[in-house]
Amino acid sequence: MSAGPYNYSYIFKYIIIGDMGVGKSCLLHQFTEKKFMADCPHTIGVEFGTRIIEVSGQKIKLQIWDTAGQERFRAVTRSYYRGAAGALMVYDITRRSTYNHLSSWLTDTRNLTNPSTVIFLIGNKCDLEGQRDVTYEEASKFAEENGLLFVEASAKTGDNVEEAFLETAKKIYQSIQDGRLDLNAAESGVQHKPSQPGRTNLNGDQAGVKDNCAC
Amino acid sequence: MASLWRNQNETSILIPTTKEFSNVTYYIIRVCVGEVKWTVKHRYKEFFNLHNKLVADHGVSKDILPSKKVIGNKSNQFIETRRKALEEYLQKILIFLKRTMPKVFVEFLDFHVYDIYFLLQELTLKCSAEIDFIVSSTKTFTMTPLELHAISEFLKCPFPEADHLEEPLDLGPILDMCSQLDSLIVIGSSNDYLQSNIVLNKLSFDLTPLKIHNTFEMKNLKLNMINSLGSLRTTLNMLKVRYTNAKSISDVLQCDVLHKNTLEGSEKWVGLHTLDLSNNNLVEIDLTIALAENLRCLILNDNMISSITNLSHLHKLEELSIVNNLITVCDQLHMKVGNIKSLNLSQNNIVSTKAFYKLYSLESLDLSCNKITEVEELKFLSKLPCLENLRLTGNNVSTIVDYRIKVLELFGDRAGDICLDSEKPSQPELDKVSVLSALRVVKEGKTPDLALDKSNNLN
Repeated sequence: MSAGPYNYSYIFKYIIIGDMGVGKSCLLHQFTEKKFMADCPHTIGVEFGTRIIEVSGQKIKLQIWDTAGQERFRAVTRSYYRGAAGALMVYDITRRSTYNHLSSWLTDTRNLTNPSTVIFLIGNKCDLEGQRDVTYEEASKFAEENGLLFVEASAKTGDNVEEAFLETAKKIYQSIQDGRLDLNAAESGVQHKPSQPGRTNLNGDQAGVKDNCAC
Repeated sequence: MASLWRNQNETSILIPTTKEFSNVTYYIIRVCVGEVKWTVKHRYKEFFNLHNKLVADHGVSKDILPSKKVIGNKSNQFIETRRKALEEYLQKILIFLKRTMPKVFVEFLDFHVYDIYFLLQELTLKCSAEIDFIVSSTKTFTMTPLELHAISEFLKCPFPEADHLEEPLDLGPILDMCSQLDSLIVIGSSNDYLQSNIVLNKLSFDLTPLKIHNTFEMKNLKLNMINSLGSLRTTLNMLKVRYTNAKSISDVLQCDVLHKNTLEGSEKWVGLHTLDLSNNNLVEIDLTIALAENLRCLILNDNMISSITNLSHLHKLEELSIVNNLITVCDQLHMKVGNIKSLNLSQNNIVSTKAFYKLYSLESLDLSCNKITEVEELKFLSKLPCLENLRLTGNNVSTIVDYRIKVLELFGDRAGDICLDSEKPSQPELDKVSVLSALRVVKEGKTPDLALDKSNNLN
């Protein structure tokens, strides 16, 4: 039983946003379960997923809030932006309207998160090349103009899904290392869970080692 | 409240009676200024001291005070004669000093407590002396409705005839202070104020001169007596309105709005992060709560609210407390309140935890003193990933055998993280929980399937 120390040293909060039916819940499912969920029901309000990943030798627990895309839930899902360290903004490459709405999603994100929040743009359903409605170049340009990370992924095949979540975590971790992200700020979306002394840490937690030999 | 300057001719002083306290005779003085009446009690010695000061500084003739008597001053007849003489004395002094009203005389008759003008004079002195201290400290400053009423009345209509006074009244220091307050508390009452017939809750006051930067609290007041609460909209961080006659949130947040059924952008309480409306007569959380869109903490304890509504627009809400209300069933709470961390629904009529099953952000949940009877009804909490504090005392469920073990078992791997009824699980408890889960695995032939655990164990 995990009554003892935490088996991860950070918690990062993510939020997944985007229009209805772009595959937000499927991306989450693919990431946490490594499976494609074919008949995914509409999300009511919010869903939640978690997974522990490793970035630069640090175990990080991702707490992922998967929001409902339907307009009627907009009010309540807006509250989840608060305290998000990473925001995955998803559109569907086969439906231009979902791409066109990105600017409104981006406005919400910028308004409701803090400046250090990493925003990652995901063009989902890239397995459906034949039905493509938004070109890679166009979206890539949009991402660049707005300072977003960008990848095209497929929740169905699992292409780039892992990468998107991991890249976001790396970027956040980088911000912590650079000191751009203040761990103590209430809304940073990052919590530090220091490993407890006496616990063997294969990855050699630098601070922990130092503590042990300082007299 | 009293105003000597507006009721010069309706002012009277009487000594209708005397009273003996611990062998000393006190003369009960009754002051009437217009409608307002109050009583003051003084012994002869205090009259004597007053008289000496008035003789020395204000040219009062020496022999008008009835003389001292050392022996035999306890007889009823003597006291009666002296009472009449003292009454006459005070009446003479009032006529003589009405225009100047020296401080000793004002304080002798408590004019500085009940009369607008003299109360403000006193307040001015206090403000000029302490303004730096008051303004720089973040301590809550207290004002009575009487003081606020006096300021409002004075601003409405100053006293032009008051120039010939000892010290002309200058409201500067008061207004200066009022515009720099950090926190203010105003406490009213429906009873008579001190020894007078003034009722604080019947005094109207205006908050326009006030500029409060942090917290405004009012207690025991009647909201309809307060004008322009709305002037605090842009500056307040915290608003506490308790023990008032408020029936709806609109009564408070739209107190100064004529057409209450529409919400205007200008009615927003932009800075407000904490709103406490405890101990009122609220029956619902109405739409107007959206006017306080930046709320982080909402406290609605001790009202008559039966359901949780209209909170979905409060994106920043983290803490919600609705203790001792009439909440029975609340379905699908995650569609009504989003990213909330602390929820206190103690002392309601909740029977099941079903409504909470997707409030994934919840860290602290207080359901003490509700109507939960079965452990079965608690299983909906088992998937809340952030839950750390859970209170269930005062429910029937907490009296069943092995209650703690049974509740903790619901949380599987996370049992060790749950602080149940303010107590962390002990090692023996955790061991029992492990044994129970192991037994269940054997019995059911599979591991308890919590989707959450699976994802946890992936890596």
